[in-house]
Amino acid sequence: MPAKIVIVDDEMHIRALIEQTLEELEDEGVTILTAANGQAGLQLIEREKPNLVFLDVMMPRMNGFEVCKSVKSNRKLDGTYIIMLTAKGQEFDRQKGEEVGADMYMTKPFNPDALLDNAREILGL
Amino acid sequence: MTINKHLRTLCTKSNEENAFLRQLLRQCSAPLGIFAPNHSLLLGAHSTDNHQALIQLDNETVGYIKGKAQDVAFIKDALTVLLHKEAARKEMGKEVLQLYREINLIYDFSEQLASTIDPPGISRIALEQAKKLIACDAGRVLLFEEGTKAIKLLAQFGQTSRDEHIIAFQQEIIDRFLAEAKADIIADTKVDHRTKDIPTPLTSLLYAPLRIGERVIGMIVLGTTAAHTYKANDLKILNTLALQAASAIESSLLYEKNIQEIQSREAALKRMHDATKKFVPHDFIKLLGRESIEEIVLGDQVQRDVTVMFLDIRDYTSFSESMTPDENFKFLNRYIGRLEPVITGNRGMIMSFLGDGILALFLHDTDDALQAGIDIHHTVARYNRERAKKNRRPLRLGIGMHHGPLIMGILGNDQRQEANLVSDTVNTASRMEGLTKYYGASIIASESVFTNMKKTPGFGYRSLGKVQVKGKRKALEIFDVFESDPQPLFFKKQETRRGFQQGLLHYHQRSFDQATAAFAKVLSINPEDRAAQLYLNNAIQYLTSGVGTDWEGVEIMEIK
Repeated sequence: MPAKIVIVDDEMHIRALIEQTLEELEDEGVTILTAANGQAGLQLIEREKPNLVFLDVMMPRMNGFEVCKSVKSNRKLDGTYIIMLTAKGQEFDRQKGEEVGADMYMTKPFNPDALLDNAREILGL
Repeated sequence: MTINKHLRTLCTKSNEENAFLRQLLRQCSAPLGIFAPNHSLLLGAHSTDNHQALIQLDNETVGYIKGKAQDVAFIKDALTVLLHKEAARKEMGKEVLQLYREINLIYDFSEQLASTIDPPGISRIALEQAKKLIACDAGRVLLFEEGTKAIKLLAQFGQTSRDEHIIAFQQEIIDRFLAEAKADIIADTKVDHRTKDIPTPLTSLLYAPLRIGERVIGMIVLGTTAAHTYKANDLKILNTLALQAASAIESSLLYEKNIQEIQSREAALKRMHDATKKFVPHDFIKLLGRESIEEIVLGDQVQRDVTVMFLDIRDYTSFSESMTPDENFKFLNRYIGRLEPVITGNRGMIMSFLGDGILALFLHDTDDALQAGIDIHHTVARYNRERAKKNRRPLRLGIGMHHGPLIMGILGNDQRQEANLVSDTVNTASRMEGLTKYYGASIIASESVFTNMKKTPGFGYRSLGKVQVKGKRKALEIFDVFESDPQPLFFKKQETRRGFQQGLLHYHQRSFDQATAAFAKVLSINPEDRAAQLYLNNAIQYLTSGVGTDWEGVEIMEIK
């Protein structure tokens, strides 16, 4: 089954950036979907059951932690790898991240190459 | 043939545009299909109607629509708008990503710069970053040395075999450069007037100044052997890198310069310290509560009880007669050079050199001063054995010491200041030294030296009774420390010590007959005992003349 990636971020340019960064994966059959807030993101994840989610922490209507917690406690969504995105300088609450079961976190501004490498590794591409 | 990415996205990706498109298809009067050029159905359904329309994007056919005529025209228009929007969105995404990549690398560059402090290191990082953003096969970072304008290569990669040409090329641009301080592109090295005469495998060049305000401190050059030419965007990136690198290199050069200045200032200070240490002992400065000579101010002073030692070469005038002034000077230096470590080794410090004399202070225990006196005599004895081998006459020293209060301070005026000792203690110590010759002793210490000792004396000594030195009203008991006397004398003084002390006791009790007998006995064993001889003479005289009621047995010394 072709892999799916979901990007959840309220900032449009970040969504576009991550999408663009991962563009070459689309040529390899990966589907990339986006959502602009936590609630829409959770619905998208529940519907599409992606392999990998890039999830912003600070978002209106359900923040990243809440979305992550909900995804990680949903047994139908087993195997969803979640990368939390956090702004540089805004200290990532590691403990909170661990509590809600985040698999990894990356800081913004992210290094596009590192982001792509991470995605490839997680999807086994 | 691959399916157009934008068309595929619109037709297959679950997003708002896709939802909108699906809604449009549902509104069609009959089934309608959107097909890829290879006839695969992308969205919609196969239609029984055969009306077709090609979907074009930038004059390229990316697919076709098949369905009812009115539907096809309507969907084609909508799809074309959506496709253009998608293409523009993608284009913008690409650009944003490129910008983001640049920002990220520059951000990265700043972070790396922050942890790099050497100009070559900074330059290497700058080239590394440039390589990531700008296609290039060769790169250089050059520094123009201030003043000489000589070129220093800070970092480079690629195309090293033609260095001389590149350097020549560089020299040429550098001249322009310094006038214009501008980044520029040489699109084609074979054509450009700046480079056409220089054989180089590089087809296109890019350079930017390392600029601090209006000042150019160097440049960064990139070159490529590929057929493409550099563009304005490459120049912009290189300029950004160059600006950051320039300020980092500048700070690091300033830092190095500062370090060097601090080091040389410290070295100069140390030289000054070392020099002043020879004139003003560091311990003395410290005693005044200061760290260095520069901190000393006029009027700094401290009062303490110390042991003052005076040391003199006996009969130096006749001793030095045989020497030229030059030899004399050299001799004194050698002599001081031998004694200085003995004094400092016993926690003493030399305060001043007085011709052949030395004035030393012992700030800690009087034991130190006594031990130093003994050690000095041993050192001189060894020195004399060396001198004897060269048939040189032996050196004879007298050492006097006294313990008492001393004001140490800086005297003088603004122009000239000198470390000084203000005290009677110094005078008394000097008198003690003067007495050594009179009593035939090598070391004479006053009673205060003995009473302030920490340990019981572990060396040969004897009391020489009380004296009243010139200029002093108070009488002092003085001691002959004979531990370091030449061996025969040491043994004889040791043997007669009891008899001598008894003689003194009788003497002070005005039993001059018994004193006479005692000192005569001492002299029969040690005929060279000058102290015994002096007391014997006095006792004999007092036997016949008698003494007044105010006689206290104090030897009045008129000598200095």
